Amino acid sequence: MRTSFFFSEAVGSLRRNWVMTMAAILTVFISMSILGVALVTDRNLNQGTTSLKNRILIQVFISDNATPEQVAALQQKINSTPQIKKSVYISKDQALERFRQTLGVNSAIILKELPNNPLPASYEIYVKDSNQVDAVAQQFVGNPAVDDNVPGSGKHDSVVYAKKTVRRMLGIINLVEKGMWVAMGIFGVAAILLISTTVRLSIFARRREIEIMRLVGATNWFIRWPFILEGFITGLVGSVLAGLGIYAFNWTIFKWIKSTTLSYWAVKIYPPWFQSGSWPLGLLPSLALLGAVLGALGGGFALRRYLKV
Amino acid sequence: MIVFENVSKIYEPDVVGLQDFTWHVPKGEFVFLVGPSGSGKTTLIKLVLKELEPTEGRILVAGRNLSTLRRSKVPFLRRNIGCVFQDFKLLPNKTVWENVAYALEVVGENRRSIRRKVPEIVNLVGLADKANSLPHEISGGEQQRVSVARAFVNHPPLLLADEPTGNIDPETSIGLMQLLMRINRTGTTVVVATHDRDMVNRMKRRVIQLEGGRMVRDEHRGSYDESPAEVTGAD
Ligand SMILES: Nc1ncnc2c1ncn2[C@@H]1O[C@H](COP(=O)(O)OP(=O)(O)O)[C@@H](O)[C@H]1O
Ligand SMILES: [Mg+2]
Repeated sequence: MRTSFFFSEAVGSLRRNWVMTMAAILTVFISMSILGVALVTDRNLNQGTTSLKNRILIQVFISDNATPEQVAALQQKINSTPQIKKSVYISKDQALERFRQTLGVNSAIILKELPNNPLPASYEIYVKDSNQVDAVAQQFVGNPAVDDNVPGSGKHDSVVYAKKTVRRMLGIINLVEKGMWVAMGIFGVAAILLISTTVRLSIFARRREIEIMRLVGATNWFIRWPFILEGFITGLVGSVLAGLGIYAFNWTIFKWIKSTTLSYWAVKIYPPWFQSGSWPLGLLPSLALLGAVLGALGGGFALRRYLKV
Repeated sequence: MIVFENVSKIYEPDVVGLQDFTWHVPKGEFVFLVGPSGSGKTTLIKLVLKELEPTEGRILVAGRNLSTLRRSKVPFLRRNIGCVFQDFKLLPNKTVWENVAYALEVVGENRRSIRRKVPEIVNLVGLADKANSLPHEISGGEQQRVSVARAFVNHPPLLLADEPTGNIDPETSIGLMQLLMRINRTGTTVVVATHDRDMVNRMKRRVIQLEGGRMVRDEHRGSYDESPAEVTGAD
């Protein structure tokens, strides 16, 4: 019923105190940008490490000559090794199917020449801790069920696992990720403090106005609504700007990575929808909502000490 | 309209604002509160508005007991009390019209009745041609009339004025007093705290004199005396 009155009060005061409004929007923009960049980077890193982590697997190739008992014993050994998170059995047929997919459209021509399926069956083993890859992998070298004659891979490649460098990289990314969470926590708190300080300053500047409102008999909610709306609008504008800024930032980095020798990573760490240039549909509304709600809460809460009778 | 029973207000740590004050203002009366600066006039007015809590005693305003009145009901008490202050207390970024309308917005008055009532009262205080001016664009006397208009636009049963002529020149002050008298004639109880000796002497109304937070005189058709006379019985 009074919405239009409250709204025009809020907009009017935002316009009149435009310096303060700019300061508040800037504050929200900066805090939300930092928060958003942290979120985006974290997500990109996650995407990157997932593809790296997938490579920390041990492939144990099974000899075509292995007896069912030997395979069963191998399976038993895998199941009883505590460091192993999970294992997947890939049959000869599945291996061939995968190979066919890797070859793509030319597969029919190439595979036509093969008299029988040359690919061995295998176990793909994932370990719980990437540092244990070496130790776990060594347990399967020389196992009677394990093929030591994988075509084109040489005698010692019957057990294949990730190299040290990959694992070191994962370790670093892991550390960066943890640092990111800490940074996000710190900046989140800083954002709330900054917003509420800005709102408090603006309310302090208008304490006379509030005093007058109370003297003519305005209820606390009547006084509060315009301030809440002001906080809401400020938070919304600041965080939408931040969302757009983050998108531009992310896009620039993506383009840059693609133009360097690291272009492989651009494909790995950015989600496909991003690479096709679509809008950050999840990020923008959630940032905007967060900003608006924080702003509104800031506006409402900062009034408390002026509304005591 | 107003009843004070043995009311004391002691500010922290032990400054006397008002001490053992008992008075009774019947409906429709016009009362002057006089006394030197620091004698407790503003304290008394703030107590009526429940802006301050008494340290002791009982206060009734328009039949409400202020000590049992819930905090959330205070705004509704204030809608029955028009206030005029020495410093006008106008919203600086609203026009004369908007300042007066604000008091109606607050009570949830609809657009149409706001558009009807505001011009009426702005005319009454003689500011029809200044309706769209901002407070800083008009004189002190005019600002004070805006604040009277705002206080009276709801037609409250009680109007309090704390040194309303303190910041305006003597001639304008007379006009303002006459305005308050006119408001009083509509049946509104009016309490005016003032220093202004000439004004009080001219009006010949009930005068209550304060000194050091105590009532030293209560006189009907009184004047502002330098030396406190004997306290006559209040009614
Ligand atoms: N908020 C306050 N804190 C402490 N003392 C106060 C406060 N307000 C007023 N006083 C004291 O109370 C006494 C009465 O003040 P006041 O009611 O403002 O007098 P008047 O309005 O007649 O000039 C004065 O001694 C003043 O210093
Ligand atoms: Mg005073």
